[in-house]
Amino acid sequence: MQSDDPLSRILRTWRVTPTSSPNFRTSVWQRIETARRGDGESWSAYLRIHLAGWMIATVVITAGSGLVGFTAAKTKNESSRQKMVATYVASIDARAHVRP
Amino acid sequence: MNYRVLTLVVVLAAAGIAGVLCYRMGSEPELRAAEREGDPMRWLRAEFHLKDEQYARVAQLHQSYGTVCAEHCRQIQEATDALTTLKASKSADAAKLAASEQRVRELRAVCERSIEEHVREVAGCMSSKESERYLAMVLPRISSFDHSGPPDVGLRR
Repeated sequence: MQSDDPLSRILRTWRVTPTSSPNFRTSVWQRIETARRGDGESWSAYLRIHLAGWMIATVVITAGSGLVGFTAAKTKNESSRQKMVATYVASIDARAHVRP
Repeated sequence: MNYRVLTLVVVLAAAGIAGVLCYRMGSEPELRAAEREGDPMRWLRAEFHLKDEQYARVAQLHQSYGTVCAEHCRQIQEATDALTTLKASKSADAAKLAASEQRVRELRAVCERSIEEHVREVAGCMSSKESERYLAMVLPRISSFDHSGPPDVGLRR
């Protein structure tokens, strides 16, 4: 079915005559390479693209670091505690003050 | 800078801060302060959550026990010196040597009983939960005392 409205008439007469670009292929590869290197985009754009991966990495690394810090503190506490018990017992034990 | 490297640096910095914060959160500042100062009474107060009146009583007991401890120390030292002299002399009588060794052993046993008594008295000033923890921490060290090392604490601190 053919319509005879003005738009259809114009569309029937419309012809596209693209000019060939000799650098088309080169420019496409340049854009791909630029996108791969991350050049030309902002940091926030980069983060938006890689958000999931970096979120997981941040949670894992930060939690690991926190755990290491907490464990180190507990180990040091225990070592200090043992030292203080020894110091306390020595302060009330006459045997600790006798020269052999 | 590559965004990947920049992001990694930021993540590592955040992890470092988290590590330091967790270390600080897990630390016991009073315990560290007592260790730095080598102050067993400060440790005792913090470790067993002593209230002011409990601490005052424990400090009083500790101070009065210092006199008893000094006397035991003097007696054990005298007996140990006598034994050392006997061992050094060529004409040492075996019976005298045995008696001297026995004397040192007896004095050490008296000392051990006295410390245990003192420790139980100190425990009596604490809440039942803390006193159990205190005894579990201190008593084994008294019974397994190794006197081969030099003391690192003065009697009257």
